[in-house]
Amino acid sequence: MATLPGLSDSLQPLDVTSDPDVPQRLAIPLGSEWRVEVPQDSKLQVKILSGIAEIFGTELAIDIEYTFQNTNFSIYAVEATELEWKCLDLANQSISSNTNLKHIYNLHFSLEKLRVSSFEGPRVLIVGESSSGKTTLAKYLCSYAIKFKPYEPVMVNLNPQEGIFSPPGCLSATPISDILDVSSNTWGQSMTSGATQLHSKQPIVKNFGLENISDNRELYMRIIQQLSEVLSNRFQSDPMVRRSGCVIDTPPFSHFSDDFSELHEIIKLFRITAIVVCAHDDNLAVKINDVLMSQTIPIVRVPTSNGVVQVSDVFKRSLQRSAIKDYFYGDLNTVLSPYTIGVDFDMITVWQPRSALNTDSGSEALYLPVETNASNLQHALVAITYAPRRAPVEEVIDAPILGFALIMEVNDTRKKLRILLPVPGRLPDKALILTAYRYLE
Amino acid sequence: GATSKNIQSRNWYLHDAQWIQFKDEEIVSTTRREDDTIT
Ligand SMILES: Nc1ncnc2c1ncn2[C@@H]1O[C@H](COP(=O)(O)OP(=O)(O)OP(=O)(O)O)[C@@H](O)[C@H]1O
Ligand SMILES: [Mg+2]
Repeated sequence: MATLPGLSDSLQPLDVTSDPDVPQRLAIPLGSEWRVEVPQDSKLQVKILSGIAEIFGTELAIDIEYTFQNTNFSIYAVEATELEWKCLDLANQSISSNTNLKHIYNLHFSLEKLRVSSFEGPRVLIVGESSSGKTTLAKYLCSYAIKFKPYEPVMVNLNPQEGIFSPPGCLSATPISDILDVSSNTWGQSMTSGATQLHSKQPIVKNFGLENISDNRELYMRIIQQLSEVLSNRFQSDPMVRRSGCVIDTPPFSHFSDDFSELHEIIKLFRITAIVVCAHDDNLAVKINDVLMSQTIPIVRVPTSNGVVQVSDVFKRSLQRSAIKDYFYGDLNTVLSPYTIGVDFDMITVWQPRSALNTDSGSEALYLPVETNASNLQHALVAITYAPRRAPVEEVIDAPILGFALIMEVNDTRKKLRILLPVPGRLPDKALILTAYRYLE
Repeated sequence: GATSKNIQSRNWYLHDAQWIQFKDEEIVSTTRREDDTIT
């Protein structure tokens, strides 16, 4: 499927001179999108005055103020849109009619046809290099699937570098049964103890806990296997989810092994029925087609939007940090109160995945015990498993995840820790897993 | 917009066995209006 240069790019850089307290008016013509980059310490407020406007497939309500921080996105005018916006320092903004929406619509309609004609919805794998628009495409496909019909496609995140309804370091599967939160960099929130303004989701979250899949590929595939099994069981017991299918987002393609083994395994475990390649040209799609010669899975390329913003490591880290913060403290719409407790050193048992940082341990096990001390644990994000505290390591590796805790302070002398818990009460008497992520207030 | 006046916290995630049996229609989404009474 070749790229159509298509519509000429009517890029209009806009005037940035503005009094931050006075809202700016903006008109987006039908079929164009307003692209913005909101730097980390800036706040962009937007209110749609008229028309139909969407962010990556999710429609914005009229006259509601939306707030955006540390994000890059576009507002697309399904119908000519008038909006108001306020921001101290918008890094970049432009309006363009050169979008890849036509390809995304076509793909969505193909998936719709498949949903209508079967009790089993399409299971779509999205691949592509870094910043090729994979996660954005996943948002579109989920949002369009639920727009007019009560489908509940499962959003499967296999990229541990992005937190989707979870902290970073996780692989997750979340039925999308209602709209996404366009202001949230984690697509929205997982369930909280009370009512929320926006719909919360119920993900199944598996902890990988390392920064790169190459840090421990065996563990990565083990976690993927666990996730695929749970999802398969959910498909069996939930007809609505089964007929909706799933959308699977992946790490940048270059993170996979040269021998394509992970790709083969993912296709098998999730019973993939379609592969979508996000790219500027056909090269990757052709390569994958060659590798999968024996399989008859359709491969489609969706051209990368020229509105895509290259994701820097600094930006990635800032997103990971705010995903951790959101897990414990919530966001602007839903403020959460986490809970700090003190525990003694001998009240916890901590494991960590084997990786490049500890290969000299001599052990072959996927997890190694972690000594409780400040050097190992201070400021660390830890996963709390369902496995009992003294469970053997094999049980810990396969145990589901209860949630996360943050180790705020470690006192080696008094042998005490201060831990931040998401839920008030005692520290669950469960095995903990140290992740590679650290969070300082 | 409306602010949630009750104190909330994140829920623990469901166990695999619970999640497998879960139906998303159990997730009730309500919009709090500012004049709602807190139960
Ligand atoms: N049309 C658009 N206009 C403005 N920003 C966009 C557009 N499409 C994508 N972006 C932004 O570009 C960035 C990269 O896109 P995206 O996250 O979808 O890529 P990715 O392939 O998932 O990247 P990674 O490989 O890092 O996971 C994101 O911040 C996204 O919000
Ligand atoms: Mg991505």
